[in-house]
Amino acid sequence: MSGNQDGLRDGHWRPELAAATWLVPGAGHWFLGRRDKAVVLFLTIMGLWVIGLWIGGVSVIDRKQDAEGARGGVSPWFLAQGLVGPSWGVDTWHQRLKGESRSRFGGSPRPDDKPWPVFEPAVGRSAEIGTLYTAMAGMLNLLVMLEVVWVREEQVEKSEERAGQGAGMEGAG
Amino acid sequence: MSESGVMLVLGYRPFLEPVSVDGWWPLLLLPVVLAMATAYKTLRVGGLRSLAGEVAALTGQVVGLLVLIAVVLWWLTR
Repeated sequence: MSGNQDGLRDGHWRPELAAATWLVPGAGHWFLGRRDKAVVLFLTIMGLWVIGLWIGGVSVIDRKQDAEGARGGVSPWFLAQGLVGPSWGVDTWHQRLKGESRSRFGGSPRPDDKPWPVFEPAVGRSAEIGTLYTAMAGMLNLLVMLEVVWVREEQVEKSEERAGQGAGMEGAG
Repeated sequence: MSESGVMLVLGYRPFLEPVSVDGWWPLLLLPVVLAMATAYKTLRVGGLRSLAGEVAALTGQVVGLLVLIAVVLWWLTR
């Protein structure tokens, strides 16, 4: 869609850039040719997310944590954490570890049981800080997604210009 | 390092076990404020030349304000 029918400046909807940003923070800016900003955004958001995950461990990303008993509910923290695509992968891993832990300690012992627990859930400050960092990374990624989902004409022209220059240099080389 | 300390380090499994931050968690405010300021200012500034200065200024303002609020709340509740 382009045009200014809604009072918006001429531009384009680019949901694919928002989706790329969701998956890899900064990817939308990368595809628009703003690669320096893309690198800064990637390092900032993923840095925060990884530090949070390291401090709190895998248990801080839990889609079902606060929704126990609530039918089909999602943990409110996960609404923010899920705005960074890799959180969904970590949550899947966490749910699998929880299942494994339940089968190991809730059911009969298995021959491959190890002497240590599958994982250690975070409590207290570690849980708070880990949850805060990963959720904050998600909210910052939302800002970045909003920045690339509507691209103004002049930004499109600039990115096409840069892409043309890149192709020209490759051709010359 | 004592034997139990060595076992503790060798047995640590990153991302499967949390890190204890009990003694120094208030310091973890700084990275989160820095990240917020960096992401926000990266989206706002035209080029990245002025980014470091803008981020430092915004980080200083946010941390300063938080410290001020903490002092006021401490004074009100002491």
